[in-house]
Amino acid sequence: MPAAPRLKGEAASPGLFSGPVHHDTNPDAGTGSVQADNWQALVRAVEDAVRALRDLIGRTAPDGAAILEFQVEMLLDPAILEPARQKLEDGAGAALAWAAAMDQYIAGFETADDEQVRARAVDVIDIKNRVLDGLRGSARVNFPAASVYLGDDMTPSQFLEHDWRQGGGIALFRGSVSSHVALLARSQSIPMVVALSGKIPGGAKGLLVDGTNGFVEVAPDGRQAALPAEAFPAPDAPRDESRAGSRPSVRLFVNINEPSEIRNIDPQLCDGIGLFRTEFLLRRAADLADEDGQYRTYREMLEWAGAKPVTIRLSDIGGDKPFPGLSPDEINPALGLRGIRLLLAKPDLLRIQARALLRAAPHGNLKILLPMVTVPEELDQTLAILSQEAAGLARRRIAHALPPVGIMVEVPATAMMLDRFSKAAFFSIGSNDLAQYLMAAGRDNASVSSLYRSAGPVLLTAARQIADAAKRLDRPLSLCGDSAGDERMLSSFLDAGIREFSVASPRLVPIRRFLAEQQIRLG
Amino acid sequence: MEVTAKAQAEIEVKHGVGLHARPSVVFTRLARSFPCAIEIDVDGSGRWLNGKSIVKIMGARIRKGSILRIRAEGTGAEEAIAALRNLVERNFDEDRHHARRA
Repeated sequence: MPAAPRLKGEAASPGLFSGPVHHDTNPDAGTGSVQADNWQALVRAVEDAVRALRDLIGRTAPDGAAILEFQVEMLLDPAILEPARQKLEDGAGAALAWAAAMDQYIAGFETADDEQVRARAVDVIDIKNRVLDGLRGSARVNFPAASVYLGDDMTPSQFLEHDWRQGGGIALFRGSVSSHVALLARSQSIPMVVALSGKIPGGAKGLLVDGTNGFVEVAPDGRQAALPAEAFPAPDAPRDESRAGSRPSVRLFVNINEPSEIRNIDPQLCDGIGLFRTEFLLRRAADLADEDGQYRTYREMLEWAGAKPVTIRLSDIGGDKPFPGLSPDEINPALGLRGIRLLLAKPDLLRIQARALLRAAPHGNLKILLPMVTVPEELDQTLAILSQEAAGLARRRIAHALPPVGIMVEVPATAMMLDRFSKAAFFSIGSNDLAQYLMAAGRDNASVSSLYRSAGPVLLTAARQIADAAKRLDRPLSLCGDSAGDERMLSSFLDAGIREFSVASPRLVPIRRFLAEQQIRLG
Repeated sequence: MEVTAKAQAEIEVKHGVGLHARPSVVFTRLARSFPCAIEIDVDGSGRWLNGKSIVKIMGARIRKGSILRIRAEGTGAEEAIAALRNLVERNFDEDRHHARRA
């Protein structure tokens, strides 16, 4: 039998998987990342809500029908869309424009002195959510479970929409080992190979992905071979022996990209969540406006962690994580409107997330982290918005708390002038982005990947400087990013004076073992 | 036909919970049945709202004791004002509504 055709690529996420291939020839069709999010979509969602309500009225006793008729009247009144239209013209997507406009209308009731006026808010909240559900739409076309995704590239939403519980593999002709999909694949132990050269023969039904050695092979038949992906650390994975009786020294946290990840992690294995990347929660435009959904997710995280800290980062949208209709088309998105810049430019979005976080805060040990902070004014403005939303919740008699607010150190200007950020309660070095900005080499650009990967020495120089400044300011400092999960880099960061690290969940056990071997105490 | 007809009325809302969901539906449906423009002002705020818009009426937070000024302009203005005044004075037919339910 002739050797199976083999294509070389770069290893992006370790492990082996063999299964039927799903060749995605047009990544924008079917599995596109976001539903239509424009004026027409909003008008359609309102019409759908009216239709659904009328159906419901037909099946409801007169008492209940009266309130549904009120909702129909409200939705048929063109005035209900006026404030949302204004926000759409200002550049918001339909879901966000609708939710923000309705929130303002609802706040008018909720902040009233008169209890009977306040009671009316509930009806309007129901109207808001009905239309948001319409904008959210139904689940979109996806590829079969337990298959190998083959395509040019993959969006984070495509990854997140897919059911990986039965395993799977990813083989990309473009893509990058530093992309967010690679990061997600590593955190869920899905083998992935990028930058493939050559062609897969037409008619190939099955593919084997070797994410450890960086190649894919045409499988003899389309059936799934019995090759398990690299085992995920099970809850009963070996505990670190050095833990018992040791004094606190290094604290190890876990990075979370997708809420369901925590179900596979034993909270005992870490000191809490060091970084929850909330942008991956946002798969559809309507999610941006879903304050209650965000609140429930944050609360789940906090309850999982118990008394341990949970650091939740405000959505880092833009850059290499664009959100159609929200982030502008930019020539150079990595240097454009992303992270806190985008949130401050679209404060409706920030306010929704702020309220969800403030409401979740009483349920655990929450810390809020701001992405891409470059100047102190960005921190000041965000703190002001958080205080305003806290005051609004207080007026509405909704339980909340204002947690400590810290900043990511990932922009060189911030790294070099950290003393200016004394209002931050803590600092977190984002080594992936800091490396790309220090090297001026895009993390997802395969043609400069060797430059990006040689960022080690400059990253350490910056880390030393940041650690010294954090000490002067007497603020906690941690490091999150792929380099924290790399044993050699971790040793150097320890030498630089960093004592808190946050790593992808599959790295928790290996890093604990490594620290034990180095006789470094965990606390 | 007199197209420039104008009419105005001032009424106190006596209904227990003011203009909540159902009364707002009844009020705006009645207002929409007239061809004239109808506007309302609450407690002399000077902000005249479209009386045919339930969104605006609800947003005005009209409660028991609120003084409602209603003005109409155009065909049927007099009839519109008379009918709307009558509706507010009848407590938006809430009593009849409840009686029917009982």
